[in-house]
Amino acid sequence: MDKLSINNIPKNFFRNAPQKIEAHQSNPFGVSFKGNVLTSDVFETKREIKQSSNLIERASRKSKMLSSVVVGSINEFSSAVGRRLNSVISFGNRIRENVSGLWNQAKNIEITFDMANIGNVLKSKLSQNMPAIVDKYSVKSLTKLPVGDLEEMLVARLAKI
Amino acid sequence: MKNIRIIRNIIKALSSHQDAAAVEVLERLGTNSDEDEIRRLTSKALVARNTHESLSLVILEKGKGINDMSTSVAMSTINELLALKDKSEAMKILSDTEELHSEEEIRDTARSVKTLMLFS
Repeated sequence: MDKLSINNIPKNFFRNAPQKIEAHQSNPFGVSFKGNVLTSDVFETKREIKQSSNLIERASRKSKMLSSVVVGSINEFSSAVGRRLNSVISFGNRIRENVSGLWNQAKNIEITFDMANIGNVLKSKLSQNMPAIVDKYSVKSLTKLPVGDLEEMLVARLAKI
Repeated sequence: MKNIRIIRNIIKALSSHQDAAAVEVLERLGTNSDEDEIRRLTSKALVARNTHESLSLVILEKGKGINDMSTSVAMSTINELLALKDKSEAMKILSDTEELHSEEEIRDTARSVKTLMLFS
């Protein structure tokens, strides 16, 4: 077993591991990135060409997936639209049937409008619910009373002055 | 306030009442009232009734006619006479009073009111 001495320690033992430059970073202007200056040649590697081919493949695969998704969604959309259209059409048919039924009923109904009766009903309702409006001390109401009653009322009212 | 409104309406109702006995009630209760406002309302009601009995009471009656009224009540009554649409009965009574009444003071008052009515 060797003795542990400072000379046996490799010189690069305390060196920081060289930082890996990530190949997928696109920095064509050689600006600093995390403290390291990137040069333009870092983008010109075989690996990158390989990646680009992979990218093309992936893109084509993705486009196929996308196409299938789009086609599927179009099919779903068209079927959903079809379902909605069918429901709208059936709703319209129902409305039409109801309206035509209502029209047939309306044709057989005779509408009369008895103004005199309405006036009497309104007057009685008014006097029942709003007695304050139909003032028993109005001149019109008082004129209908006998003179003897008016005299008594006047005596009573004059006594309150 | 409500009481005076009701009194005013009762007097108006008596003024337009079909029963001729309404004039007697107005004379008995209204013209003898202590309240100036009640007398004013009563004389207006009697003029508005526009009958021979009611107008005679306002124009001729001793102690109750225009000649014996307070100034405000007399002016109100004359205004009511001037406002009549049909002045024929009032003019007839005033003319008769002017010519035939025994008291000169009442004849003078009737003449003045008649002149006012002629020019109104």
